[in-house]
Amino acid sequence: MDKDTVGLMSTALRATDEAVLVESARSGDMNAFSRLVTQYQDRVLNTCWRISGRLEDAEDLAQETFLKAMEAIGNFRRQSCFYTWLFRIAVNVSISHRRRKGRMPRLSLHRDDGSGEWPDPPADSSRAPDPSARLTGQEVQALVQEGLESLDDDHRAVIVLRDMEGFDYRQISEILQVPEGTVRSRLHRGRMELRERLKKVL
Amino acid sequence: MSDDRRRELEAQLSAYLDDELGLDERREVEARLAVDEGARELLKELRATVEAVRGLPRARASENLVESLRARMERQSLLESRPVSARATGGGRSYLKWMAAAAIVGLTVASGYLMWPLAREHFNRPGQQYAMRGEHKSEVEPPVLGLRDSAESGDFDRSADAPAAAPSPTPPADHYLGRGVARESAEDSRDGVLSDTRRRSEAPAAPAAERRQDDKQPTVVARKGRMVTSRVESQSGAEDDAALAGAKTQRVDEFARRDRVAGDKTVEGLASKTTVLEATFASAAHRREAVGRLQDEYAFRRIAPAEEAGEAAAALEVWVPDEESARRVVKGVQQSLSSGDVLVIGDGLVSNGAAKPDGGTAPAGMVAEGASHEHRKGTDWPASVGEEAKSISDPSKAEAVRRGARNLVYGLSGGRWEEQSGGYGAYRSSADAASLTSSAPAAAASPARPNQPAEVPGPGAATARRLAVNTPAGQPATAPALLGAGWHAAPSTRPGGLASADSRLRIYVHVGSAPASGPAAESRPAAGE
Repeated sequence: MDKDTVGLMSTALRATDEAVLVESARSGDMNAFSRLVTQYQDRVLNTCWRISGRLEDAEDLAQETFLKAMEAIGNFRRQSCFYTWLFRIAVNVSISHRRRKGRMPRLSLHRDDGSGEWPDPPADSSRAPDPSARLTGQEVQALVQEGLESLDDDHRAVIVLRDMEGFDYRQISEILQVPEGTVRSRLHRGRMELRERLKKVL
Repeated sequence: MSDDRRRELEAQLSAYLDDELGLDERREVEARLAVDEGARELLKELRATVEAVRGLPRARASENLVESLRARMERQSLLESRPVSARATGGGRSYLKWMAAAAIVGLTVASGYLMWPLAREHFNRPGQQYAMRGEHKSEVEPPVLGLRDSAESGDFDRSADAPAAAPSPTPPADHYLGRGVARESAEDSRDGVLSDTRRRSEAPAAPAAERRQDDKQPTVVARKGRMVTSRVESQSGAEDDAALAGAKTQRVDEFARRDRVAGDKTVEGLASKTTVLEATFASAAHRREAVGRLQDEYAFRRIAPAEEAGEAAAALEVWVPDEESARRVVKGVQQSLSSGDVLVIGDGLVSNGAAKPDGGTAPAGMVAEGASHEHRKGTDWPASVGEEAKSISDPSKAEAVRRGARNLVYGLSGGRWEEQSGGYGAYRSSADAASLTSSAPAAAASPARPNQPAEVPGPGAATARRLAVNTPAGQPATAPALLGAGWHAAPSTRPGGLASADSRLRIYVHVGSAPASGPAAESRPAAGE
């Protein structure tokens, strides 16, 4: 049996397991629900983090996601996969939170974020010919995060789901309940915008 | 190529990257790429953009998330503050009550079931004092010494009673630097935290040779002493704009020198390139924010010996590559004391009773929740507030608004804060503000320097300060309600000062490489020993 076949069987098994867990959770088995939580908690947390923009809030948002899921699992109709349903909740919770809170820019300790505070010392241009050479990995990450945060919620969500969580277009389309063509165009526009913002450092 | 065609191609490139094109489209794109250098360049840039996003650090959910969920459900179930919708099932409310109860039991059992094997592995590992976390622990996560926080704060102790996670091998020191991605709020509960007591009792003593090696590491011992409440000082020792933070920070080599003289505190064996800061934030949330930033950017290790915990709810060591970086950390922390505050001033403007950007009217004396980037500009007062003040024709009123704004900026550090549903506000009602105003000495409304409130002697503790928002009773909602602010001394309502104990932080900033396997922490005598 080749590796791919094993992988496919494993995936199928996981899907079956998940279906069983979901069914058990629907009938009130909270052990099953907690296993679903454990299975998805990291990915939900990261989705909440990158969409809301604040890790400090992400854990609460992840909790809120699972609470909502638990409350509504009786309504889960199994027409879609459990995870698409769960991530839909996570995306909605995160976007709502973000809109409620407004943008809360973070101040880096190490980099001038454009606010005029904490400027870096003057760069020695003779030793740093390339602007990107002066940026550490963390600084680039901070710029990427800022770039993400500058995007529309719709564009950011689709980029997070695709590029961070690895969902394909069909899955994203199910999560966001929009046509695949919309996913494609949002992803494209979001990436183009992000690319423009990161052009100098990438 | 027409614009439409170019846009179409761009969209295809993005999908091409994702392998989401049909065969025909794919062939078309590849044919285009073969002849179009611009398209190839665009593809390269898009790929770099995608890689950059994929390269963002990932967090791990705290291992007690299930437990936290359980607690929230329990609270929800008992208080019924947020009734569960009956739509969830056909069984209605009674079913959901049963479901919530079952969830409490189930999650408790499941969390123990899931965590225990990890905990057992952890506890069975001799001498294991550090815990790592993260999906790529050996690459990303610095070692974190988890310790109990002060009983008052409680927020470092959430997982103390839960089985701990399995530790991972400690990465080399150069992997720590600047690689920390976890944040304090998350680490609190996922580090395989061992309580101070348990750690001391279970961890065997280091071998003698190891101890000798450890002796070469900077050793920092902060003995118990009184809470230091000195003013903010700059790196040079002179008071400067950092003082506007309004909190207690101290440069540490000076701190040690002075404290020896003062007898407040002794810092022994302080390496010459170690800087210690003490900061009192307006709230634990602000502290976590600052710690998170440090952890994002530097190798770190969280320490909180019980003895220190009485003074600083958290203690953190960070390693920076050079003194310039150390200076930035100092300044950054000082700034964060105020910038964190400014973040929560208001959505665009300090509320003046009529100026909420959304068109609503904020209650007099209340600071609207929200944030504005503008507010973080400059250290004098929020730029947008300055603009607002300019629009007021009456010079005295304009100055009053400016004064109120800058004092408010300061006041958020030292003033009384109420946390409200995820946001913050200074004084919930105009009556609250007015009651303070009535007892505020007039002289306090004119600080000698911007952002440095006059020291006004008053009843009670001299170091306690409160922001007094001048909100005249009966002020029409359409008129500026926040006309001025003053400071006055008053007895603190909380033990230890204006901020609660869990908002205090001590930071040891080491210039140099992080220890490869945490010897500095191991060599540091445990608190109380």
